[in-house]
Amino acid sequence: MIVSACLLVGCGSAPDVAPAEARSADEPGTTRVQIGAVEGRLPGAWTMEAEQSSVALQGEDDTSAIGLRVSGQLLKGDKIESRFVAASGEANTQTGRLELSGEVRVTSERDGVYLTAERLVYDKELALIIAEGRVEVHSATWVSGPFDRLVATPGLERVGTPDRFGL
Amino acid sequence: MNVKRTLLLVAAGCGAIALGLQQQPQKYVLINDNSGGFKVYDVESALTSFAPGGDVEFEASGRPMRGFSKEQGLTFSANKLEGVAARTGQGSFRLKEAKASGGVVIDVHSEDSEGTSDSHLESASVTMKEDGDSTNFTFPSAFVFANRAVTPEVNRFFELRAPSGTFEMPLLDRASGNKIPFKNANVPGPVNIVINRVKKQADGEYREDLKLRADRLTFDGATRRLNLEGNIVYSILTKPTTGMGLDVTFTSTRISIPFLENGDIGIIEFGIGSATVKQGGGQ
Repeated sequence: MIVSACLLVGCGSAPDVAPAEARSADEPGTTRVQIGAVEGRLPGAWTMEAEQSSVALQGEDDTSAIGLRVSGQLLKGDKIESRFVAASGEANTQTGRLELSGEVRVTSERDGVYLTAERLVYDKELALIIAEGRVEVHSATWVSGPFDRLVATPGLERVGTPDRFGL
Repeated sequence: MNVKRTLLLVAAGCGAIALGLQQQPQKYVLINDNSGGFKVYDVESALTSFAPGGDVEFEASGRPMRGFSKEQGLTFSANKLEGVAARTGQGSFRLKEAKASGGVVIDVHSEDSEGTSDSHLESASVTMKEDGDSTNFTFPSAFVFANRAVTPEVNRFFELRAPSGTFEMPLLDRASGNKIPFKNANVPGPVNIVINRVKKQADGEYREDLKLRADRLTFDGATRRLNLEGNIVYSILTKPTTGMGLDVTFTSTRISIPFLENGDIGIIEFGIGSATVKQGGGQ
């Protein structure tokens, strides 16, 4: 089943995302689809929302979505660790993998520190952001980079080269 | 030249090109503050943590990695460095703490209307920590410390080489103009010291070159005296403006060298010893 709509994809224990189901939400002028698939046993979680998208429901716990002009959140339990925007995104609820590309920006909810990159993968099992392509980290007072590749915790408390995370 | 040999040469050429194009490790800027006053760069590997108050903790390595803090008048390079960059009221950062290893080089510059003071440190391993109005340095391994103070009256150079030691220096501040490089020091020996000074006098310049070796060095901040103890060998070569100078070698168990406010050294006190004196070093 393929759904083309404005959607919200949820993964993990986000409080507003019902696991293992796809449903429409009421929002004037748009059709929103929420998808949740992976139970909350993994350390990380995320939600993704897109302006244009296609969703593939392949099974009860296997939903994937591709979207344009995406935004969303990286979560730890019910707590938002960071918010992201990107030109496009791809999400899979079975693998828990979130891939963003094009003008990716992740902003820490804690202190406003933000990371920019050309591409980003968030691995739900590792609970790590893996950013590639002119990766920079900005705060109000300093900038770090550009790096070819950086790894970060979802709230951007720790950021480093891949070797520092054993990758 | 046969075909096989030609192919071998072509293959060897390709190998050489491939070696020449071997990818160099990328060097990155780890921290660059918006004011341009603090930077950590030439980093190949790093881990950064952001503390809630705005301080940045980092572990970084490079060959070497480098950095500077303009407010502190500080530049540094090392193969590895764990540090804390603390935010300042001026919107920049200071290197508040550092544990550096591998070809560590630290330079500190300060100046005021009276003149300049430049310190240079080299060691395989250094720790540095700011504490109140002091900056504490520990050298667990052999190190070189040099300082040059320049004022309109005197140009004094001091160099110390020792197997290990600890220093308490004034808080690093580019604008302090401190001409005395340390507040306290404790350096087990053997220590080797070189002091050169050129003093301007009414009739020209007076030059003095001192070399000392001792078993132990301490610097007493209260009296601003550099105290040397044990098996001291001291040699001094003076070059006065006119006439012959002196070349003196002195042995003693104790020597005390006062540092003056302007960075010059005062009258040296000697313990009981023996001396050999000969003419030399004249103009």
